[in-house]
Amino acid sequence: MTWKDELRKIPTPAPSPDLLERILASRAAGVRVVLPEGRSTVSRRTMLLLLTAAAAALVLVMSTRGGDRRPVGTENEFPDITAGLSLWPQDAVAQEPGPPRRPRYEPVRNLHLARARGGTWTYRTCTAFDDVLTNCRGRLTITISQAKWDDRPAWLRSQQETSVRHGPSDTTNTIRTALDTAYIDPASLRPIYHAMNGKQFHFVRRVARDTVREALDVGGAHPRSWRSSAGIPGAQDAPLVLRWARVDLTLLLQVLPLDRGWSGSVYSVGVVGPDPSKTGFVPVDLRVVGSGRIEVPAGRFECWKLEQRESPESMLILWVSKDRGWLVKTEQQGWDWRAESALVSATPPTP
Amino acid sequence: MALFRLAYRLVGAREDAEDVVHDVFVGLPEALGRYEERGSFGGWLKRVTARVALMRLRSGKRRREVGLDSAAERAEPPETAERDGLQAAVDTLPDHLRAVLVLKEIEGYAHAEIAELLGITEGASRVRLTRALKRLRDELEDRP
Repeated sequence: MTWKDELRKIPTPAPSPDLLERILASRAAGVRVVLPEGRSTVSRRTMLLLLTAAAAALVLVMSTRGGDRRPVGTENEFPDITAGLSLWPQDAVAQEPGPPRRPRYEPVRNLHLARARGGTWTYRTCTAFDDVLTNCRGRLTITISQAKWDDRPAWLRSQQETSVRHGPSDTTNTIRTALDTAYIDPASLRPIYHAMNGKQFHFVRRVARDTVREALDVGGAHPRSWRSSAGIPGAQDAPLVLRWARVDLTLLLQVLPLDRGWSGSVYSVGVVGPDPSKTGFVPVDLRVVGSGRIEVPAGRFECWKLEQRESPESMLILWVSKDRGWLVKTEQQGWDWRAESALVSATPPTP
Repeated sequence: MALFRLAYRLVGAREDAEDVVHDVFVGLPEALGRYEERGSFGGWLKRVTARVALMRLRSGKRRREVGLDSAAERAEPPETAERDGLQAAVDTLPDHLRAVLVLKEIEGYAHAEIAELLGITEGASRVRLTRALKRLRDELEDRP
């Protein structure tokens, strides 16, 4: 064994178990980090001047952030969200809003709300890079049941993701991401209440007729929190889907009048965040592009093939069963990577 | 884990490596827009991680200096005394030399890639590697 082999075998510690939670909490908190580019055409001196000017501008913006810029209905004074973040100046400066996107299709309508059913769906999630490195260690379980919210009927939806991580000396850990729970109005398929709890964060959203209010509290080494709210775009009785790491379409797909040539758009709500000039609402554009028979571990299904566009660069293929509107399989293809989820089991069982 | 390992080898402390991985994955959605789809995605992701780690080294914003508590940080005891000595010797290298050593000898980058990552010339990368290897050799010879 050469010294180079020895060098490669120098042990490294395992990352903290809460690193994944920290990343998810930061994403939920709307933290934006601009990663460094490969090549810089700006000299170091010019960059220093630009950074100094940008940092001064940031301080000015933060110090003048007053009542006019605060979200409507803010419950508490919003603390400085940048305090304690592990960012350096260019990253902090990069926290700029992007323009909201308009829906590509007409809003979804003529929903068959009586077709919605409760159940439990478990998906296997896989990713592959260069068709070589394949990771199929993830499991996503979605449960929907009938419940009550404020003495009125509601759908109770929860989802949990588990993944297996291989550590040093062939040890494995099962990581469960934060359990997410939502109450959903069965008459409009708009969420009423959405909560997520991790070891170091607590996130709650309440949706009124035209407003979403959110509260986020992050603990740990960099504690921070906010209370925020925003008006919901689109019609007040239109469905609204929740977005966290993924868009949750489990209930909506069951009631859509899918057919050849069908298309429709629905807004998804992510994190509203502390900056009212940024939008937490992203349209989800759905279109039927074909049909086919799909075989997954849970069985064989006659499916509609849908395209879901979230952005010009991001497109997801959804296979949705024709009989019950179950999401059977999703596919996403990049240049040298692909991600796929497939229904492993369902309750009630497949017919 | 591979990204964390790379970050750890470059910044030399677990907390700093976690901050690097954290920032990479928080910034990834936006960075994907700049992914030019020329090389493999995995390779691109490693280069991004290396850049973030190197920026952290340059910024001086580190939670812990290299070498401090490094023995306590190790997940497993070294298998051999030689490897333990090698680790200690690597820890003594200054950042600019250790970065080249890690990128060339452990991660397998070419000098041209290292030069691009570090913002130096290829020649400087070769010189730094030579110096790093010489210091390593001297350090290991001086140890009992």
